[in-house]
Amino acid sequence: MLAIASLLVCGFAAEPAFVPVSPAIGAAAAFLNAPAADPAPGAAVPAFAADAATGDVGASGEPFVGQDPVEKGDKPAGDDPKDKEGADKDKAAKDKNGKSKDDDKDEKKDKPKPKPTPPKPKGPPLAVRADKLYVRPDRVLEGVTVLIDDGRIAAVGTDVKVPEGVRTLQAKVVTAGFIDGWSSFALDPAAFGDERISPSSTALDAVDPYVDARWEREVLRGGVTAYRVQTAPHTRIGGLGAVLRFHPGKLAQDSALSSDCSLALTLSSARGGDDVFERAADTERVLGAIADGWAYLQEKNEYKHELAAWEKAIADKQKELDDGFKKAKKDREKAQADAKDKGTEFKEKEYKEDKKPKAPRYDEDREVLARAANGELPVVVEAHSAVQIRALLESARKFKRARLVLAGGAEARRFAKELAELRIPVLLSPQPMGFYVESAISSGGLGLAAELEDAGVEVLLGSGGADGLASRDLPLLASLAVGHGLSPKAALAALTTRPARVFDIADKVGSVEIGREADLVLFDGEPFAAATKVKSVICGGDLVVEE
Amino acid sequence: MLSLAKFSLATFACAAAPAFGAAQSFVAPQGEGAFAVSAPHVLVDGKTVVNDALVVVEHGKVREVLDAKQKSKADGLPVVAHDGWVSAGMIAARSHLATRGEVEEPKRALNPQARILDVVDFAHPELQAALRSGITTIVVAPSDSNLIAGQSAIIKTHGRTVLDADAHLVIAPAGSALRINREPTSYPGAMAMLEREFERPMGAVADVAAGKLPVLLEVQDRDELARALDFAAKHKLKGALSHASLAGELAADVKKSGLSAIVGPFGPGTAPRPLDSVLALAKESVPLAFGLEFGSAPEELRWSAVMCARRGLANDHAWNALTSHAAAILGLEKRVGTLRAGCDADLVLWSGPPLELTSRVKGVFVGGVHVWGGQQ
Repeated sequence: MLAIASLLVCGFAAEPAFVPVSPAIGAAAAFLNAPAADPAPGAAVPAFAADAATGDVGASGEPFVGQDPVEKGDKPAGDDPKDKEGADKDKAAKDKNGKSKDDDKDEKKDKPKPKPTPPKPKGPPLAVRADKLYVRPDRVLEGVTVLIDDGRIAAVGTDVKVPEGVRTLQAKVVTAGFIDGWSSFALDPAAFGDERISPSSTALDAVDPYVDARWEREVLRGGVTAYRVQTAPHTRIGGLGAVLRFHPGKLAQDSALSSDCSLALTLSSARGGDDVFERAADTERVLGAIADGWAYLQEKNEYKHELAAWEKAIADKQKELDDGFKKAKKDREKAQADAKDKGTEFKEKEYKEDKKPKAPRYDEDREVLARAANGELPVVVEAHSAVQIRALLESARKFKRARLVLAGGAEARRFAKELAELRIPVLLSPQPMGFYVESAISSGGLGLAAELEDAGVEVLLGSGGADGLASRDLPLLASLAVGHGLSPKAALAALTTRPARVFDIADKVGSVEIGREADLVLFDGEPFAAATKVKSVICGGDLVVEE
Repeated sequence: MLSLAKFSLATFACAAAPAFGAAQSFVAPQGEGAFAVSAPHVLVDGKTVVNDALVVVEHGKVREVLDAKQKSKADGLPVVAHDGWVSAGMIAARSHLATRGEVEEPKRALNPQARILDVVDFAHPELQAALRSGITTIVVAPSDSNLIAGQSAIIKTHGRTVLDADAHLVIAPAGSALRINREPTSYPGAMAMLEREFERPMGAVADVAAGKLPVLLEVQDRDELARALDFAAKHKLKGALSHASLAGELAADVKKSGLSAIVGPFGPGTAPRPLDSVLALAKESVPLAFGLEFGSAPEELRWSAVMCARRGLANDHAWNALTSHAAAILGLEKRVGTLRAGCDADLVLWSGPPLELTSRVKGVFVGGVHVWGGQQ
């Protein structure tokens, strides 16, 4: 992880050779609204706070209503449960496994985990000349050059000077690499249906790090450069999702864009069988995870306040004692003397100490649920039936901080208005499979994306996770949605800027702006035309597919 | 002469953009008699596009396709104005549509006289769904779960039209036809049973042996394919291979056998090998057509062709596999699969180029009768 972090933070600014200096490039940069002078482009850039095209505002930016506010990322000062309760945790771990941490270490020695590849120097600088560049779906430039250095986009403009010796690629159309928001690529088969997955299980641990590079190239040739994967896609709580790159020659873990991009919940009509009450109970149980997270958050918050009150009370008492120390000493001596005189027994004055408040028990899983309830982590809820979606909307109204994403949503049509109002993005997989694709009844139908979009819902597209290799066909699935009414602009956003924003990686990928990591696809035509071929793909600044 | 534009990549790409979601609506003709359909682009077959064209329909057949200069020939005819592309209806060269799953005899392995037509439900909504996705002709076949599974039929997706009541004999010398509770239980057993049937052929088997009835050879793996090719060569079988997803890896042998190949469907996530197999068959110029599977949506037919086109199959080849080549494989090239004069007027009105997934079916005519889309 440290290696990844250092890669992310290191910026093009450190490499002075390609910092745009000419005023023309500066102007281009300003036009692109990119942080040209930002010293640390790796740091969070609020690029997608407000998307003018869709009018969407980050859900986390909403005013909080109703419940006890807890500041995002607010931790009691000096009271990080990870530090304070580390001992307890170790103890618990030992209790559970009958082993201490040291034992674990020994085990690690025996069973070598995939070693992170050493941070190798980034590929040589590259330049891309594009007849047409989709900076973002709503911003198109013509006849521009994109300069890539140190894995990042260093300059974008019509008169960017390409330094001598830098390889220049030509393309008719260039877009940001597509992101498959719903994939199962490289997921270990055993992790698929594991019912013991808990909220703190990470998808990164369930991904085969040694996935064959040929499969990655296969997907890259479709123009898809990144994918979100989730452990145990069919269990109630699927743990922490990750966004990984298709980067041949790199371990999946090393090319991660996010190792905790989402928490996944699945509402399934298959569970609970024919019993409608059992199904309802199952839905309640799954969505109850958010409530549990909120409860944990409140417990921690209460503890924070109680602890502060206690500390203040102790301090006051201490001050009282310090101030009245001489008098108290005199009084005591006097009382002692009196007792001796009278021949009675001397009794020491007793101080009653306030009981120190007890911290809530550290729980790894509830920590994750708390982050989800607090909106620090988007919650992807797969739900299809109207009953499930209604339950989801109820949760959304109750827990206003939670950033919910509806996945699947076969019967989401009738809730389009509410989904738009509550700003719940919908992650769809428009499949040509299943019988009545035209019908609104049995499946979502291919027109669902367009209908939701028209109602003001933010639509994301994914390959659906049924087959890992389906990520390759994501652009074709998007074409189907376009054929059924979704605008090409919205479809492009559904594969680039939107998944980047929803899964909190917009500062890294999703658009071709200065400072972003260079994930680019070079096409010989418009991206959603069947005859269009992917000519080259650049992933993390490396040319990974070449014609 | 018609001014024929090459149906090239360029025409596909540049015409992709216009009029998404624009309400394209045409008014369908009333009553019988000749009429014409006008459109900016008419795809006569995979290689031939006529721009600014009129398709003249008479007695349910295509009378002619007129270009801009010849339009006066259609003066006085009612015209259906369509603002997109017009093509022939697509053909699913294998499917199990409209059978309600009645595609297998559960107890007997040899069913040469069983006819799938006896279970086809012409009112089944699956046919309507196929029609709406631009498929006007389908082969309905028994499944591959019996050694001799029965006879397939070729029907239109509208109007109870039967083009061929006994189109193929479906033979499946494959693992799918082996059972533990009835013969054949093994490959050698299956081949022995087949040979026995062909020694003293009767009924439909006799027609096959005499070269009068084509076969649909259902095989999956490469070893099954190799065995089936040997058997076909020995008995001089005509017809097509069905499924055989890796047939392209034996493309030269398939070519030598004279059999055609019915491939697909290829859903999202199809592995590279079956797709490359199609390219290899095309390179060896083995006649290709696409088929549907149990429970597959009709939309999968065109999707399969697009998957192959993305993989490198020429667009005109992919389109022909959906239409004219499929018709030729079925021996119906004079009747369906193109908009050449004399063919059935099975017209599909598209919003854009038919092989673009961004294009949608806006209207369908079968045998010159308006059956879906537009306004009455």
